[in-house]
Amino acid sequence: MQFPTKTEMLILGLLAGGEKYGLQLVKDSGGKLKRGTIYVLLDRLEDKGFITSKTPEPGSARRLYTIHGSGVRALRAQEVFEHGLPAIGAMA
Amino acid sequence: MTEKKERTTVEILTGANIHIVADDWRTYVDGGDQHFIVSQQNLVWPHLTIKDKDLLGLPMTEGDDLQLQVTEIADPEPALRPAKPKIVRPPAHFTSEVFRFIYNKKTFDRVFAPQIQDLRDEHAAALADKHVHLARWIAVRETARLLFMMKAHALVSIIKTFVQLWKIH
Repeated sequence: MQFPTKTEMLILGLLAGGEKYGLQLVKDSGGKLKRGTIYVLLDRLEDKGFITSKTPEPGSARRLYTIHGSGVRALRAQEVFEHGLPAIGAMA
Repeated sequence: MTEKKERTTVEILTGANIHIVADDWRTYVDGGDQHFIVSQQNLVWPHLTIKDKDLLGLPMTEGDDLQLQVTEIADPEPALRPAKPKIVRPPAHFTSEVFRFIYNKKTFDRVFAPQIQDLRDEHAAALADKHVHLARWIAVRETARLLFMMKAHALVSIIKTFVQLWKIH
């Protein structure tokens, strides 16, 4: 499995707070994510298996993104890498 | 005496020799051989309004042809007329069709369709607020962003394909 990049980690961090739409992620990132690339990044994350997406309304093109189990594990690993083992306890 | 309400379609020949077909709402008072019109309204929506106050209280016998006396034909203010509905294609319609042709369903659904939907939602929101110029600007800006996204996506796809080919050999 490929480890997520820094920008992908940012998306996973935002999705850890709950399922979101693409445009919502751009707004919540405070300018770190761009509208022109967000869906490419989300597509890549979905291909890697870190997130899943669904269309909440039938016939609508809008997709709602949710973090997957492997995405949560990647986030925890990142936390451990940055803050050491106590971060796992704080996240649980 | 009983009161009856009736809706019919009538043909009216006005003084200006204009032939009109109108919906006619009438309230009758049924008095045996004679009917008395107590209220009447002719409406030819949306262009003409017929005021026929003179007909109120006019006695008529059942089976008689009603001779309508149209006193006035009023043309409402042009601003009050409902605008003719105009059907237009949504923004990025052509771009969307091109992308749908170029990319596979999965890529289109995941990468381009949500972006196009965001564009259309934003465009519709601006139009709902009567910001026509802003709506046009959103359409242009977001279409340009879509084209940029296509360029970026194509570049990454080409690099990925080369890497995979290099790995195979």
